[in-house]
Amino acid sequence: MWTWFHRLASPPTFYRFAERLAPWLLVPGLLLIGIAVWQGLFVAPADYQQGDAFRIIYVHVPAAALSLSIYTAMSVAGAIALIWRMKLAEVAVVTAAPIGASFTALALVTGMLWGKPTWGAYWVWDARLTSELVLLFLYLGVIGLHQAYADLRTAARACAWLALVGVVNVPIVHYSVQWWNSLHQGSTILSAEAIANPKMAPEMLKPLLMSMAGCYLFFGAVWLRRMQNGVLLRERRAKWVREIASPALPADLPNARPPAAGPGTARRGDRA
Amino acid sequence: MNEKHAIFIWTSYGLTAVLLLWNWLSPALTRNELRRRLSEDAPDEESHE
Repeated sequence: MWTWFHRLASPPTFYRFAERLAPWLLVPGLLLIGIAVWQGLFVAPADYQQGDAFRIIYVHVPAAALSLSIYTAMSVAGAIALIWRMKLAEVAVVTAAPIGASFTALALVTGMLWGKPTWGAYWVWDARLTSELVLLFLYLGVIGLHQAYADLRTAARACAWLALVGVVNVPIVHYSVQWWNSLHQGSTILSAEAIANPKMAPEMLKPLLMSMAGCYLFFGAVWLRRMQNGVLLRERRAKWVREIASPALPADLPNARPPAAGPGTARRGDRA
Repeated sequence: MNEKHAIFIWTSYGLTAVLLLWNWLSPALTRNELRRRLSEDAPDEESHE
């Protein structure tokens, strides 16, 4: 098992593994999302209190859950990058940030669109909303930090620190509805109580679980794709990249001849 | 579907579709750009060899 993990940490092994795995995540992910959207919009009954506005749950909750999960994953990768100086973990941190930022922004915007018909306001300075906004700023901070350094390794290590420090906000977001009086409703499915005693009717819950599973699979696929790009950039002088990128091979890969910079040296503007 | 809520619901789903599309296409576009830039660098490298 550990041998397999060690082998996977090698960039060429990871690259080939990701190439094979990504479609197996992407296709079922998109299928699940498609079915969930259809069921959420046209099959699930309207909520007795919120009416049809509750249907936003099928896009809002998966986006919000992903926003927390991605940041947690980034912090774990950041710790690995800082402790073991693993290149792949550095790539993982910086490539997850744009995906996480996009899902956090989606969670905020869909939350606002749900809030207007339900609360009568797009935005309130509520603990949940505010801490989620802070999470978006943390993601943007990681992206900005990555752009600020000329050297990609230095940039990635700075990003890893921010990911590690910023993870303190994740439990704040999650438990904000319990710790403070909040306009935002409590956890519908992601709590021990909700799992033991579901708060939703099965015909409403099923599309939500499918949408969440689909979004997680989709995230896995696009993260792998971004990490592949990051690995190619960093390893462009490596023999295996040249072999893969040989014009004789019809592979869908960059013709990875190294630029004039030194081995492993990354330049400003070279971003995955 | 309640017309009063329809605009909020369809906007949410529309934005989600745009986000998924961007996340899907963005790595592919980046890879194409990477391929173009590295292939442009290749002749320079060969001339130095």
